[in-house]
Amino acid sequence: MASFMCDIVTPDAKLVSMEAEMVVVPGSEGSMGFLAGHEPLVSVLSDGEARIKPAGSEDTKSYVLQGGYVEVSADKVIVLADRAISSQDIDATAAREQLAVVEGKMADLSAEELAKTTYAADKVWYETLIRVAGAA
Amino acid sequence: MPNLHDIERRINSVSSTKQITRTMQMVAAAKIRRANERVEASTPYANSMVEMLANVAKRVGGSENALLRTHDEVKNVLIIAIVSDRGLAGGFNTNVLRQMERLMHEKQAAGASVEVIACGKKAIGYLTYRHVNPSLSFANLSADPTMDEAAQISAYAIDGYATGTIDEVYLVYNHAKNAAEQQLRQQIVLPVDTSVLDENTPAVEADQTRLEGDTIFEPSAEAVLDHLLPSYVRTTIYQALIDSAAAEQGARRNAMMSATDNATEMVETLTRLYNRVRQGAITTEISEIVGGAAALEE
Repeated sequence: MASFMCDIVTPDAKLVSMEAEMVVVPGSEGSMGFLAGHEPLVSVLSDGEARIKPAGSEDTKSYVLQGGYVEVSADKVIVLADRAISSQDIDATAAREQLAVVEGKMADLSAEELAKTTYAADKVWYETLIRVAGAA
Repeated sequence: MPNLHDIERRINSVSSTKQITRTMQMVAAAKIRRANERVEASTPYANSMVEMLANVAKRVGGSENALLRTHDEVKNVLIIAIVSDRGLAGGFNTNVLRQMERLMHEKQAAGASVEVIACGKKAIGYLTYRHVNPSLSFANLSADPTMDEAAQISAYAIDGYATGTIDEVYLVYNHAKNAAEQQLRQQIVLPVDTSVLDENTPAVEADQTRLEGDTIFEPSAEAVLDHLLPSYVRTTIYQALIDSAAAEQGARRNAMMSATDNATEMVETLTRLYNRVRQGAITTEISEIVGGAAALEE
């Protein structure tokens, strides 16, 4: 099967760069799958799970994304995400604990103070982690 | 003529200072590598982001997005000054702070009120001394900036810009040109000027044709742009923060290197003086003895 390059990039690092046969991402309008030779496309992603099927392998790799974009061009799929982690590395227990901590902090702050922090984004992130870990 | 003991004490004091500066130099040199690695790690994201934004912006043309629109009247200016938490880095902090001050005066002379976001203890101290209250301040993060810090700054700036309480946003920071050289940079963050995006990214030029034509935008080009712009602002700020962190280590290494060199030179001069004074004392003593012996013979 024809393959193409797929990158997952976050501000901290290039998480993934591999030859893939198929990539499925959580588009804002619903899940989208890309095969080689897809039309050029730019889309906003919703928070959730992206799956990559590497070239010449049957194990699908899964990653959790937050605040992402996908850019598809002739021979490449680039996923930009604020945060991303391999689904294998999710520690659901730790995520639940973190979620409780963040919620506790959020409860103490007024809406105005809350706008100055990133707790809201943290909360969504941990919720997404727990959701994906639960489904897997 | 200073006495021997005084000179010896100065030599000791200069040598121990030299030991400290040399250690700091080596520590900074080790940190440069880590800081540079972080800059390199974030470059692919920033490049892809700029490239994507440039393409979308070209496609959308004159967008109504609040972050692209220039405010007709500039009444409130926000300056984000990025310096370090610690001194002993040569002109690193002063350069930024002086430029910030200049920009403040310039904007105030034009009739605008200026507010400042201070990143780094040195900026906070500088402003407190001048009775300026920073809108947001971040301490203890200069060597290790986080995405959260950038997110908070950009949220504040975007919010202010969209609601009209801020009309222009500037970044002032040091760019790490290479490990040995820093460059003062003043950059306008808001309004976002998409026309400069193309020039700043050689990558776009090479791939000019890649995304043109029948690119599909989902949900729509405008919606993608609305999402991209805040991320772009945040990325710009994050880039500036880590760039400045790398520049700080470089500046400190340079400053400490010249301090060490100066100390070496000073120890050399003092040692020469010490020897001359000692020799002088011996000569005096000998001539006194000879003189005394001659007096006895008579």
